[in-house]
Amino acid sequence: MKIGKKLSFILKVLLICVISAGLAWSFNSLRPVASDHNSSAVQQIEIFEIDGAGLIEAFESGEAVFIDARSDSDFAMGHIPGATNVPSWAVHAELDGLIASIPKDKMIIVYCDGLSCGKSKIVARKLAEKGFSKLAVYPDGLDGWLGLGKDLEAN
Amino acid sequence: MSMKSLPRIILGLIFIIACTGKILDPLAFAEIVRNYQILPEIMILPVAYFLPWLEFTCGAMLVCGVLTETATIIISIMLILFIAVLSANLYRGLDVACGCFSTDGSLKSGMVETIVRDIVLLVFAVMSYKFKKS
Repeated sequence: MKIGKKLSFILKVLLICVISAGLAWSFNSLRPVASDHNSSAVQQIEIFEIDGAGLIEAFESGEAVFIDARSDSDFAMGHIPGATNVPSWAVHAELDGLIASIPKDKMIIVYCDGLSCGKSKIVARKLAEKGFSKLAVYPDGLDGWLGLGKDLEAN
Repeated sequence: MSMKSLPRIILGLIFIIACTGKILDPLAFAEIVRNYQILPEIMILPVAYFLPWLEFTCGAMLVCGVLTETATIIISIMLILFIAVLSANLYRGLDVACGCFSTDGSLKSGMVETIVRDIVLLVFAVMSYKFKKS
């Protein structure tokens, strides 16, 4: 009896999954969406990790653009001087607007809070999808910058 | 319609409303799923296409009163997964868009509020299941 009940439950779950998959397939076949999923191109772009010494050198030479991947409120409280804010949640038109003024031929260094923060990698990946090729992530983030004895700029 | 059907119908309607934007723009939803940094790349598009329709099917079944017990269990499992993923993101300090009711990445609801909302929905699911049993 118990086995019969379990089997019946599994069959019902499968039925719901099959109906869902069928609906998804039918709907998206009838209304094809142009895929902008260019992950294979992104995988060809290597995103480097830069250390503190490299970061200081890039900052002092002025040849790199710094991207702060944290939220706009965190950015306003303090960021690496001259950095541009591209929050990790930005997508589509908003992302395009934020990165419109960033030159694609320059070295881009993306950072966020520190070692436990994954936002810089998200933004670096999005920039790679948008055609930026010279990308680096500073994994130590703002904690590392402050650890180097550098000051922040606030809005 | 008895009062005991209310949690089931409300839960069903919420899931139908929640999935609409994701069904209409699966690629934008895929972007939000990717932001969570939990699934491997190969699974992002299949999940982005399938999950909203699973939400729709379960929601529609709850509203119509068809296979309600199974649909409630699936919705409860989804809610537990959502709570776990959101909690993991809260712990990692990722303030990505929730993607719960909209695919607009700029709509940021607080992680804690979203977790609380999912817990409330889970309570609705438990009530729906218990009333069905009784």
